[in-house]
Amino acid sequence: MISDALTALPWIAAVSWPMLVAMGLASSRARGVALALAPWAALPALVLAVAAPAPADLPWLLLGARFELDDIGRVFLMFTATLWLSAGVYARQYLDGAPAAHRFFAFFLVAMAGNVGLIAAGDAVLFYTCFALMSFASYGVIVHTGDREALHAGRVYITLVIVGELLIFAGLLSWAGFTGGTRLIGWTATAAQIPGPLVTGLLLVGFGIKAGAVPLHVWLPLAHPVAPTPASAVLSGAMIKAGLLGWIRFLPLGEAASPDLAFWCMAGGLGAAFGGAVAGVLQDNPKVTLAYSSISQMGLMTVAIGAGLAAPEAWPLLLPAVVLYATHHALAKGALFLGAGIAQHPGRSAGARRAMTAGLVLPALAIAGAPFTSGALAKLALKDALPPVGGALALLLSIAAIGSTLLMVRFVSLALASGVGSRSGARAGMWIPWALLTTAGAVLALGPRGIAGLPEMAPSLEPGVIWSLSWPVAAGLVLYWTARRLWPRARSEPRVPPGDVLWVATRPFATFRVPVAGARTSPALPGAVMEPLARAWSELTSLEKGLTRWYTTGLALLLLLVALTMVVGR
Amino acid sequence: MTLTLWYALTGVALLVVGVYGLVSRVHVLRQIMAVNIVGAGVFLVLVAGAHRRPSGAIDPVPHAMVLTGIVVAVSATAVALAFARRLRADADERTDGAAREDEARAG
Amino acid sequence: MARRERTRPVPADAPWIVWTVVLPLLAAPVAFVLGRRGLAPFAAASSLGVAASVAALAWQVAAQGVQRHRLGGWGAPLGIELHADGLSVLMLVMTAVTGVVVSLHAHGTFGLGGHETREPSGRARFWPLWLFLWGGLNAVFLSADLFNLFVSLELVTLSAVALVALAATRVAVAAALQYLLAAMLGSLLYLLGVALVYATEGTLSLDELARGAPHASVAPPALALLTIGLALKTALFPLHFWLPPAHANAPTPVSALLSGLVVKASFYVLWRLWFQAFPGVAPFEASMLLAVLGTGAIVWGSVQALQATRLKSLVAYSTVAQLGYLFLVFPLVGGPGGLAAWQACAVFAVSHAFAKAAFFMAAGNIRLAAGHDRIADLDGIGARLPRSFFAVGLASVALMGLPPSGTFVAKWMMMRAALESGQAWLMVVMLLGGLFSAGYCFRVLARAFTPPTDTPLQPVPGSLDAAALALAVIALATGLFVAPALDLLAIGAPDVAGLGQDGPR
Repeated sequence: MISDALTALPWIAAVSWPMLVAMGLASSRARGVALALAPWAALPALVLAVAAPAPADLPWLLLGARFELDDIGRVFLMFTATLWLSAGVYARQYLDGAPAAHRFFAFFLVAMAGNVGLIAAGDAVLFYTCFALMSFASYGVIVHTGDREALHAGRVYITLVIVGELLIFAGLLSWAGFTGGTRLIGWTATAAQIPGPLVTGLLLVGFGIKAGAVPLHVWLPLAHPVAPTPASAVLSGAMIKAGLLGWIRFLPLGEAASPDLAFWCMAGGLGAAFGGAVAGVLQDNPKVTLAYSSISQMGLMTVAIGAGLAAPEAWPLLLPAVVLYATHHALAKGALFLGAGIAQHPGRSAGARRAMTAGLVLPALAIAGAPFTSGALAKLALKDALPPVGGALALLLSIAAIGSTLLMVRFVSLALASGVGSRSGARAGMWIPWALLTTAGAVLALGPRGIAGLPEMAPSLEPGVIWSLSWPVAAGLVLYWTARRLWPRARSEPRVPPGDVLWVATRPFATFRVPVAGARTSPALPGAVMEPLARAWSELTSLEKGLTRWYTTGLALLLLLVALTMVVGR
Repeated sequence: MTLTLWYALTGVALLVVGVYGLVSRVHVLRQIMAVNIVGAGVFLVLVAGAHRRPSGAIDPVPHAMVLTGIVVAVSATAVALAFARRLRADADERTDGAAREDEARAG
Repeated sequence: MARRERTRPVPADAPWIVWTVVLPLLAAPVAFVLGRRGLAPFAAASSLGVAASVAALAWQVAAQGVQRHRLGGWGAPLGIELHADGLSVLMLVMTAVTGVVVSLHAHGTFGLGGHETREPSGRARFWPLWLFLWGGLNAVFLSADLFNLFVSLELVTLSAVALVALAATRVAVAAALQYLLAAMLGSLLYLLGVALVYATEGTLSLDELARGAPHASVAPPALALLTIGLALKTALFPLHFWLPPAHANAPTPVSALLSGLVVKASFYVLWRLWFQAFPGVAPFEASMLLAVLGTGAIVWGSVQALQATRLKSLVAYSTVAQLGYLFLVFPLVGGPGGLAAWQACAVFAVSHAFAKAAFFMAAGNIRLAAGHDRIADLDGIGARLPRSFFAVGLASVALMGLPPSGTFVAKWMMMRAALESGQAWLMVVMLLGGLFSAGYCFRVLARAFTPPTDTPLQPVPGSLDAAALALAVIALATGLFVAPALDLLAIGAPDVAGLGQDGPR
């Protein structure tokens, strides 16, 4: 009993510590202490990732919960905890003195607890619980500023989250029905049956919303610019990966081929990789550009998932490559977002400006996949794993790298421009976490040796490899330069509204609101379609008035009595 | 047709009359009376059910139930009448047109 | 026939099962005659006393199994027999926890004077009525025969109706009257069903009915009358007309008790009848009929909640919708995974009681502060009443069936049973219901982030918010720590696996 409690302790501590601190923030008396503790709340999770204690069963929690970390979970937890830690420290400084800082941190910490918990979860119910906790808490982070754009982004986000939760709920239930249990890790080994395409499809779409898969990505470019910078860093770096982890955990990857889903998965992924690059270059807010870059990068990981669905035999090689890619992207994207916040306040010292530029360019190069970066390793690993599926994919990856380069150049120039005219300088509390993430990315570039779950790799010095990595970057630079020469005005006008397809899809309905009696309704509906709908909707209230008469009730009573008597007496 | 069955059928008939009254009348006093008619019908069925032994002896249990049931029905009727009086008094207090319109709706 | 029993099935030193019923019923008239000064401590003491005896009984059942007691040594059919198994105890605990927290809220609400009731005596009247209601509820959950269930249900109805009228507004009295008439009709239909059962079976005891074969001899109209009578009292769609006005216009603590507990009492009786007194009597199609009505309740209640203009009326319609879930379980209990579905239904009822009572209390606090509860005019209320609003948020989590609430765990178990028994359409209904409830909850939650207006707000005593928050947290904890509840439910659970022969094919 006591030893059980001791095994469970580190797991419970990692998940519940951030929540305890969040609770402290809610009470006005403990707020000071809690605010001081808040930036460091991810430390127990980091310790958990490094120590990876024995799995713990908690039969008294939910329907019998289990905590377990396999190699993949460990890597995910490592980069996730690192990101949350950096973002937390950064946020302390970023929101210093802001009146609602405690509210931001409360949501931030609850989302953190959910993110840590879902990675450490060893059963489906706990995973879903933590996933929902994270998804709903991040709503509060996104709408933090409370202005119109934030509320709109929040509305789009929460709608997608609710739909996603329902799909995942349905998918997980059916999944549990198929696999005969809720154990997450190692389920495939014991599975009597492989979940069918409907279940896989539900999970693919449900988690796809979180992973920013096209066309469910619309919340990303809306949420990132309005959320405070540290929140964007964890949204794009850590939380978006929760969708990926969901795919890895629940899809029958490496078990059964589902060609149809694989096709849609790869098509969506490639669409995201290229479409994201095009839409992102045509933005004038550096954080929107980064959001599109995340969509584009997640697209590449979606392609890998699709490849795994198409060719189960390729999965053992693909999995470590995907995990490496996720790690690299988390660290680099986190660094870029934190850097974007610092670039707005470059300060007056020339040294600081130079350091800042270098700090922006390094992770940008990693995202573009330039040689000797973590991105290069990740891309090579992915290319190595892909051939059994089709050589054309590898070429498409190189072309996607051109898009990434374009995005990154666009981002760096926008970010540097955003600081022009600002006299204030960012403080150490913001520089240090940024430097930490950039350094972590640089260390990853040296090659992840001895970390189970990641491929054994080292930077390659072969000229052929270096050339294959360099030409897309060079091509991207040339393309950008040429384009700027041809269309010099492109700097100021975004051609694609953030949220692209959402904007197209909702434009005809933009003025439609559910007409609620007594509420301010907007009459400007595309008349012919919307007016009868609105009338039918309000008609439902008068129908209820009819139902509330004794007469109707008496009639219903009689009918039900007769029906039930006949059915029972059958 | 035994006498018992006649009792039971009369009870059911009373029940039907009562339910019809309850759903078709809007005046609360009539509704309260209708519920009491339903009650009388149900009690009659219960009493008829006491005559169920082949020996012809009367089973006291349904009688006990009817007695308890009558107590319950009387208390409920008292509460309902108290409400009806309260509604009436309220309507008398308020002389404006809105009140009367209101009352018509509430029955 | 009744005869004197000398043997006592329960050790004489521990008749907790009796105290849970008798204590509130004794305390109620005392509270009625007590002066205003001594009322609060007396009410607190008797509430804690009832809660303590419930705790003791729960411990007894957990340790020794099912408890029975014949009051005064008189057994069925003329005496009163009490019977406590896991399900009864869970319902008693639900009542006690909700009751104690709502009592706290009531102490604050009625203490304000003039806000909630037009009469200064509202507070003095609340306590005796609530103690009667509590005793009635406990009696329902412990009664072992059909007729005592009738009497206990009437006790519940009469005190509940009087509590609604405490609001003393014209609308409230009219709603109370309609509630009373509907409940009386429901009771009389139920009583007619009881008469028919007694005429054919010759017994009223639930145990004897369960043992007595062949069950097919119970006339179909008897089960139909019992079911429809109870469905009317449970406000099952389309027989729900009396619920929204009564629940929306009652004083806030009363709304919380009514929506959380009172509707569960008549459902509990229905539940006992179908699966314990008459197991396997109703064919699968009959349970399908109830599930279809439950679906109707979910859709219709949600649509009306989406259209409601007042906060309390939204919450009341949400009750109509949420009660629908309880009826979805009927076709599941006979199938594979039936025991899990049966347990899930109880967990859902408990968790919904906590969440709904918390939601009503929080809504009442908002109304108290703003002076109205028109949803359209509650802009920025989240920023100005953060504690009330937080309670609304937590309660919404449970109403939407999100983890970690008890409703989530219950839905998970119900949906798994639905899949196992090949009735996936029930799963779709439950998911849609979740979507609906998210829709109406977010109508309220969206007010958190709208810019605040500067209309004056009344201060709300901290104890009112504390009560709402506490119960909302308990609703969430129900799911996290559901294991003891499931263990408890296993004590004396019906053999639902035996009902399977008539399941779907």
